[in-house]
Formats: sequence, C-alpha cells, structure tokens
Amino acid sequence: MRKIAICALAALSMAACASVPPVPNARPLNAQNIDAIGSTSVVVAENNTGVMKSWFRQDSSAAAASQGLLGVLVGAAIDGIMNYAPSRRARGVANELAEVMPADALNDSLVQHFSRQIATGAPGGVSVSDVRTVQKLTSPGVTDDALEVMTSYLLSEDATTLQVSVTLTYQNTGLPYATPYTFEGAPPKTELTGPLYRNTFTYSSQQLPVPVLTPELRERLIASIQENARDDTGAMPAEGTDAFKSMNKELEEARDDKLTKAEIAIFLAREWTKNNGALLRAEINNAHAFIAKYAVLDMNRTAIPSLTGVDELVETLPDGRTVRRVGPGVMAGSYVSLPGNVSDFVTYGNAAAIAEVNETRTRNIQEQARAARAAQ
Amino acid sequence: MSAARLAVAALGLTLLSGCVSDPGYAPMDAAAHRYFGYVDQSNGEGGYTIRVVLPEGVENPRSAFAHWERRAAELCGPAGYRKQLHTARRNMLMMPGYTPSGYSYEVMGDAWCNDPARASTAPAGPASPAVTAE
Repeated sequence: MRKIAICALAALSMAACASVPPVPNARPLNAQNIDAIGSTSVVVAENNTGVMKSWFRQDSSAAAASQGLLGVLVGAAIDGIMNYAPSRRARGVANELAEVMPADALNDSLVQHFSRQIATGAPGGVSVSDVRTVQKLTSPGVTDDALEVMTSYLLSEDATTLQVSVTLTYQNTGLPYATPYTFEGAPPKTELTGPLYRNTFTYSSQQLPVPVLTPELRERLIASIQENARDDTGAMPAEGTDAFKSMNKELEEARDDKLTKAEIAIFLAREWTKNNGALLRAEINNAHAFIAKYAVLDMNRTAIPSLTGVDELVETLPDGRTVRRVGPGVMAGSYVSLPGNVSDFVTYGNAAAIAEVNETRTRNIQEQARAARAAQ
Repeated sequence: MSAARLAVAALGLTLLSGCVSDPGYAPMDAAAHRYFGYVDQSNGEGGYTIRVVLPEGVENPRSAFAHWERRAAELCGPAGYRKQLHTARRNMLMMPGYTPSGYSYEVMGDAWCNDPARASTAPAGPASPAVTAE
C-alpha cells in the first residue's frame, strides 16, 4: 500500500511538471475544408436556460473545510444566510425575464436570423443550406456535417448589460481535424481531435445608465428588499431564520450611502422587462443578427489566429457599436460586438439564476427522455 | 493541488492583491513587473487603442476612466479626440470553494485624434505569430 501511495505521489508530481501549452480556442477552416464543406446545415441547440441573471454566490466551503467538520457546518450556515436574499432576487429577475422572453422565443429568433443567411456567403465557399434545431437533452451527440450553435444569455450582476455568448462548431467524420497551430513539442491531446471548426461570438448590449442614489431611491430600495423577503403568502420572514438575517443584512447595506451592483440591479432589471420586454427583444435581435452574419463570414476565413495578435476593428455601426476580432490570448480570433460608449464597470458573478419555468421545462424534457429510453 | 495548498494560494493571492498599491498614472511595463497602468497601440484605423488596468483596492476605481482620458489627451494634443470606450469591467478572481474577489478594474477604447498630424500612421501591429501559418 505504501509503495502504491509513493508511486501515485511521484506520478502526480510528474504530471504537475507537464503543462499544456496554451493554444487559441478558435479553429479556422482551411481552403480545402471550405471547398469540401460547401453548403451546410445549421443546427441550433435549443437553449433551455433562457436569459439568466448573474449574481455573486458567497462560497467559503474550501476555507471552512480546513477547520474540520465544525468549520464546514458553520461555513455552510453563514453562506446560506448570505446567499438567501441575493439568490432569491436573482431568481425573481430571471422569472420576470422568462415571462417576456421565453426560451422558445430565443431559439425561434436565432433560427430566423440564420435562415436569413441561407445561400449567402462567398461563391464557392461555405454557405447555409437550411436551419433546424436539436434538443441536446434528448440528442446529446455531435451532429455530423452541420454547424452546431450553442447559446448562453446572461444579465450582468447590476443588470446594466446583457451578454449573449455563442459557440459554433462544425464536425465531419469525413474531414478530420488537423491543427493549424505549431508547437515546440508534440501537440497537446486536445489538438488531435474535436471539431474541424470552432469559434465564439460574444455580444454585449448597450449599457444602461446607473441610477444616482437619492433619498427617494433609498426608500424604494428598502421597500424592494422587504418585498423580496416576503414568502409566497406575503408574510415577512420570522425572526432568527436565514431569510430574516439575510433581509436585515441587505437593509443595513441599503441604508448606507453607496449603491452596490446588486442594489443597482433591483432598479435596472425592470428596464429590461417593461413594455413587454421591448429592450430585451431589441438587444437579442441585434445579437442574433451579429452572430448569424459573422458566423458565415468567419467560416469562409482562413487566417490563423495568434496568441500574440492584436485586436482588429472589423465594423463600426452608425450608433457607435463596434465589431472586433480579438487579438491576443486564447480567445484570439473570436468576435465581440461592443457598445459605443460605456461609463461604468460591469461584472458577471460566479452564479447564474435560471427561471423556474425553464428549470421545470428542463426537468420535463429529461423525464420524457428517460421514459423514452426505458420504453425501448 | 491539495485543498490546503489551494487555500494557501488563494489567501496569498488575496493578500498580495491587497498589497498592490495604486500605480497612479503610469505605463504598464512587463519587464519591470508593472502589470497595472496604461498601454496603447495603433488600432490600424488612424487611431489608438488605449487600455487602462488598475488593481483592486485602488482608492477610486473610476480613476481608470480619468487615466484613459489623460492618455488620449497626451496622444492627441490640444485639438482633442473622438473616443469610443467599449469595455469597462471589474475582473474577478474566481476559485471553486472561495467567494469571488475583485482583481482589477479595466477600461479600454479607441481614440481618434482631431489633429491629423497626431493620427496614428502605424498599422495595427502585425500579429507576431507565436504559431506559424500553414
């Protein structure tokens, strides 16, 4: 047993010495691949989470673990108190977003935008032949000979910015991937397999202006915190409960002279849902147009990104929005669509709240899939 | 990495980030281990891409915007500039098992000088490939 432990320790040490060299995430097609692919299907993986709401989850599990079982229990209790109200509020925002923009509407919109790209593209190059959807919960495998589209929609912690992120991949069993990147030694294993084409496209919405803290705004903030703390029957939390402690913590912060990102979100979340989600729809529409257009363009582009490249300005729109191709780092070659002029810092937390209706939808799909497999 | 080592690393990083003082208005210089401050380069469109990164713990994070404007003014002179500030973010350090902590404040955008004599004539810097083309 001791020999096994020593060998395992030695192996782990050796593994720590072997580091994987960085390589750009993007995988461009070469001219031969473009000729071979030609017209291809686009398969939009159905988004099941809808527009999520970002928030910061307190997590002291690792630090608490060093204090033994008691530390773990105390840490979990404190985390539970701190996270109760923020998670509840983020969930509430996600629920409201889902009311005006259900997940199905997101999928339909993206399908429509890719459909507008049918038969566009350079002559003789890669073009879109048709567009369909796939539910990955029931069909988890890779779709062969089609451009797969995976999406994520996330509202920032302070609700000033909506971020739409899309990853596109193309895989074809008849066209194996050969890395265009060179390495000092052997290529890492990740560069020996996987999709023939891959890239990411990220759209950041216009940034909503941050409200200025006034006495009236402070009172609204306090009222909102108290309202958020009520349970389904409308009752305030009982003294001593996690909900009560969490509410009091938030009220204490609300009475100071600073607006935190989480507090800002209380006001700005409504901007996205008012008028039946007009702003949300408009930004998602813009995001989908950007993604569909540049997906086709990029699939016909053979330039190989570099870790030490520079950002390229690709397009400037009349409202000052720009489309850029990222230069340096592992995201080299990816595309970002950024607003014209930002005025405050945006953050995205380590947690994302999903609307209840979308969680239920996901559960139902999974149960149906299980039932179908059991029936076979 | 064991949980204990991870804890020490996270604690050390947190303490170190707290120790990083405000660099003030100064250029980044990797050779001098100065990873905060400003950096600029030609954007290939006759303008400059200016990036400012300040450490968490800086007294006034919004000074990153002021530093950006100051650098743009230095590059473009009294005739001024047209600007496009497209990125402003607070970068967070996220490690499983630990509450996220702030790491830096970053502002990035392009400036085009109103004085044609101040326009950037350099191309956008060829991608000095760390990897070779086919």
